[in-house]
Amino acid sequence: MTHQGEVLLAVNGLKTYFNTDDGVVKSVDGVTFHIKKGETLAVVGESGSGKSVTSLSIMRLIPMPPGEIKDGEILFTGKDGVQRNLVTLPEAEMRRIRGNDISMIFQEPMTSLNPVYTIGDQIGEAVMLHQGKTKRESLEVATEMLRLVGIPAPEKRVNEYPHQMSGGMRQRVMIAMALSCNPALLIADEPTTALDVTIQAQILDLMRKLQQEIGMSILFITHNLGVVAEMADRVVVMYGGRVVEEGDVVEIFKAPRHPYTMGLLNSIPRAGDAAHVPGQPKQRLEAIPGNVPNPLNLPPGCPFEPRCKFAVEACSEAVPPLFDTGGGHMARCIRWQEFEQAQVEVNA
Amino acid sequence: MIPFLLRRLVQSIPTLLLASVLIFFVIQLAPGDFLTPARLNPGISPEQLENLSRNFGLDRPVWEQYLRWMGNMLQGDFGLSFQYQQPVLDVVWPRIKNSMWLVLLSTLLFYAIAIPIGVYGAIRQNSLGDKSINVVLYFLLGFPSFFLALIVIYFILLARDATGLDIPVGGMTSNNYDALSAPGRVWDVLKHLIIPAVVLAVSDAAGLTRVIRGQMLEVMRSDYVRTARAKGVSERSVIWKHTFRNGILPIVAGIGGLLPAAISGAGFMEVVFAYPGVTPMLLTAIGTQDLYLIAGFNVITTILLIIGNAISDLLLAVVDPRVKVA
Repeated sequence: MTHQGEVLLAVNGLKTYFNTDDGVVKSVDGVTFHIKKGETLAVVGESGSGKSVTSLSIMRLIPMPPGEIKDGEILFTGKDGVQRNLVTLPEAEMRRIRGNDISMIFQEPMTSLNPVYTIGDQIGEAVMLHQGKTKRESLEVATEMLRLVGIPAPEKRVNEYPHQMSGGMRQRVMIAMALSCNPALLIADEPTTALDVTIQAQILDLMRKLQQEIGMSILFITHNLGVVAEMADRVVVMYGGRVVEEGDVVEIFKAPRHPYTMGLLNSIPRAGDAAHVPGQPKQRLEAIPGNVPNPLNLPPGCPFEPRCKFAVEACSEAVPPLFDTGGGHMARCIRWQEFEQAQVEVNA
Repeated sequence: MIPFLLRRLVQSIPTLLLASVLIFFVIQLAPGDFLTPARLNPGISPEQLENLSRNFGLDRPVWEQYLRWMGNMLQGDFGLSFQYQQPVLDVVWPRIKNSMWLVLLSTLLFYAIAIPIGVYGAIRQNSLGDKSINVVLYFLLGFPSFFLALIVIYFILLARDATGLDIPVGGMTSNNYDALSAPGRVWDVLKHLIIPAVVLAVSDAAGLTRVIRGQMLEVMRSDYVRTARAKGVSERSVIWKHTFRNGILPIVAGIGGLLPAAISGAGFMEVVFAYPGVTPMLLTAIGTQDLYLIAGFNVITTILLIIGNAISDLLLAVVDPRVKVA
């Protein structure tokens, strides 16, 4: 990839709050990360960790009110090479970015397509809008895109309606729609969660293949670490509206420096785990105890402290800063050095 | 589509039969008959009464009256109105036409009021504008429409006295109607129609407004509207092309009811505005037990309801690709 290394999107200190009747929900509270050109960044976290709100903030699709981008900047370099701050961009200019420079696919392929328009109309809409093509040209582009995402008989499918397709097909259509204007950034918000496992693998393969062909960056939002291992170059782990760990995908898996990341990794079965032998006690998966904290009532210190088995008194006193652990790796834990030491010993 | 229509036709036969039986016998449930007032009149001799009774078929058992009526209807003869001494269709048709003009105009206004207000209410949900419009519409809905009409007439009469303008508040045509040119006649009728049509539309608008507002709100939260926004579609297109188009589907499904409603007249509005529509005729017919006039009119309404429902289903298949006409 020619542009590897250049920063495409930089999110700095983003704060997205929701004003509810019960108080202010700080869904995203000072999130900072960046995506380079051609790179796949995975944002990982449980439900309620703020990862979807982060992606919707980048698209400026947060319903306002009750939502509000309180603070921070989102610097994005468009296809025209101009860098803009998406937080302050006028709505009309933002519309030119959406679907053209940045596009998005969603978790629910079954309901994400408009039931009353044909597949071709819906893919072509973005093409007509952003590339000034006529209706007929846009349908040709749509047919080509359907062929690209591996839908059989695209000339026929382009005139069909969403209800005539399966969930996997619809997600392919969503991808075709998202890529129809050659975006610089594709935001994929749990794109495979609603699909069954064989289809998941197909969709992930497709996304990887298309990324190589088109060269866009991908912001991949997921809670599935298996998908992360397969797709991502770098990983951002979110918890309670903040980034708790960030680093290279190999590093994150090999040497996590935040107890939450460790917990996530321990809660998935691995191929190397001992198979269950009859008569022997079963090996249990380790689950993280407790739940995501109530965003209306966050603990004063580290938001993970109530669930953390490594917590010490100092953890509940103040929110720890992001420590630079070296090599572009960051962790929001005051005991990260101890973990690093332990990892070195284990790996040795 | 042809098989669909044929099947609908076949299905409508038992519906119509059952409806006609109900209509006929329910009318008969009322005590007395068309000749009851004549019986109380000492000036009419028993022989005359017997003659009339035989002529009208009222001396036969009810089931025989029904069967004859049914048999004649199958040949397109809806019977004779006792009161007018004319075939039912001849009596009913001009009034249906009059009512249809009024109802069509008020229905147009009804949608023209409800759609923008409903859409506005959804876009600016719970804003001051949304809330105040709701209060006004609910007030009008809760207000009896004939009473609202009387108030409107009162104020128009005041305005007429004050300005000297000739604003009609009753009837369908002016006295000099016959002398007018063709466009003049249209204008004259329109002048008479507009006030009852507006009152009728405004007084009922709350219901549909509420339905449209609710539909819009529901669709606006849907995933495909988010998809449209994510494509960079303009807000206007999001609202009308993606939201409204889906929001009106249930309303299209109910559009078949408009056809019978169009001929059923504007109810008390016609009485209050002395409008020569269906309602005043029907009220007199019920009062005098003009059996075949009431029954015939109701059968026509039933037929139109069946046709209207078929049209609804066809239309729904046009606007919603998921619906197949079968």
